[in-house]
Amino acid sequence: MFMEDVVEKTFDMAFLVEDLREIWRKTAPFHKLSAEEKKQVLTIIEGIRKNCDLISDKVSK
Amino acid sequence: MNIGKLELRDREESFINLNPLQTGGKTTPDARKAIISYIDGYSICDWCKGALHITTEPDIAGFLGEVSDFLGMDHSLPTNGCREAKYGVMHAISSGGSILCDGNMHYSSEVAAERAGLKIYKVPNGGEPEYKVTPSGYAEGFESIKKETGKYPELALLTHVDGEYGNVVDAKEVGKICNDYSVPFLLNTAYSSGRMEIDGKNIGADFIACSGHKSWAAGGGNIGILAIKEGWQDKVFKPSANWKSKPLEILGCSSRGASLMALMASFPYVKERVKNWDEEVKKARYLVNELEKIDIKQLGEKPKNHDLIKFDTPVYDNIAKTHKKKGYFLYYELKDRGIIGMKPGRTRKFKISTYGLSWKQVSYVAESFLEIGGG
Repeated sequence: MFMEDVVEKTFDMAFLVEDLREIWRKTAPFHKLSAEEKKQVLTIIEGIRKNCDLISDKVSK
Repeated sequence: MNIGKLELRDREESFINLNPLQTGGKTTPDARKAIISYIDGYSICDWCKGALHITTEPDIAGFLGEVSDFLGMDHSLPTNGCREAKYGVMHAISSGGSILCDGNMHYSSEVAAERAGLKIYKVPNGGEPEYKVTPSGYAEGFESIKKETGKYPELALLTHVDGEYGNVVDAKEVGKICNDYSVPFLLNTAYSSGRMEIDGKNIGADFIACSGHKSWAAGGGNIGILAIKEGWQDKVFKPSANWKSKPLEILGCSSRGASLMALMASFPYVKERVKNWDEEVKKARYLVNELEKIDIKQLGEKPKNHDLIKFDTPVYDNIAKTHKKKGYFLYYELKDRGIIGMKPGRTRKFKISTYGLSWKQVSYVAESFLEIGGG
């Protein structure tokens, strides 16, 4: 299902943003990240990027 | 950044927020994901079975059963907030008699009792500096009401933890007195359940009112819980005469959207976090010990047994007298350091909460207050 897949990826991205938001909450106000937190941020961004690429591919076809 | 005409709210992400109203209602990532998904009107009614509390997709019915167990009670309903839970009990019980409440009660308890047509009597607090409510005051209050009106009150209400001083009252002792007098006991746990473990049966509570958005890491609107002991269903959870599946006191269905989903999504986390209550108390005590190194005095019971702390702060009040920003200096000094949640203009007395902060954050808050005070 073309649209279902795109919709699910959109929600997945929104949920990843919430995970990212949580890291800012836990490290407020200076957001000095530990090595583990830096790794988490990069993993989240990678996940968002993958979803973006998948949606981009789908709508470009 | 704006959302149309609305300002973006990033207070939890960009600052340490000490507002006691807000620290226990900070949402979990799962709560926010649930809110995003269930954000539309009547979103939880896709598979309606006739009433909110019997809905199984999403599994609200199952959740309410788990909540009853968690609180040591027998039956639960979702409400639009803690005040609505209290009002539901008062309205169901009231025949125009009286209610005995603690002197530190929240205004919403008083307003609810007034609306339910109950005459309000209070157990006074002990005054400065601890403002404690003593359980034995309930026995004295019952006798005094009986002497005045010829009857014991129809209901007793205790604010387990008050919102002014953060005092924790011995609810079990109050429950014992209420049971001895056969006066139904309503426990307001707006500042306790969801933060600390509550066992309604052990306490002897007939009714427990909870605030999801204050202490159960729920958001996306208002949400509360009314939990009751076996035997009270016919009175307090009574259905409408013509709508047999609709409980009267929540007007059939209460919270019909994202806030209930947020409560459900945060629940696994809340069940775990109450086990760390002792650590939360340690943080509050640490902050008190640090701040009392300068001309600051903690008000309310000592030592602290809760994260909500009220301070008397002559040190800041004296600075305000000559500061160009006057009473607003403290607010701005803290904000410059990334700390918010204080009411602007307050320097003489204020209340804050350390709930949910990391030790690193609590330590930074203490350093900041001391630095501003010249300590």
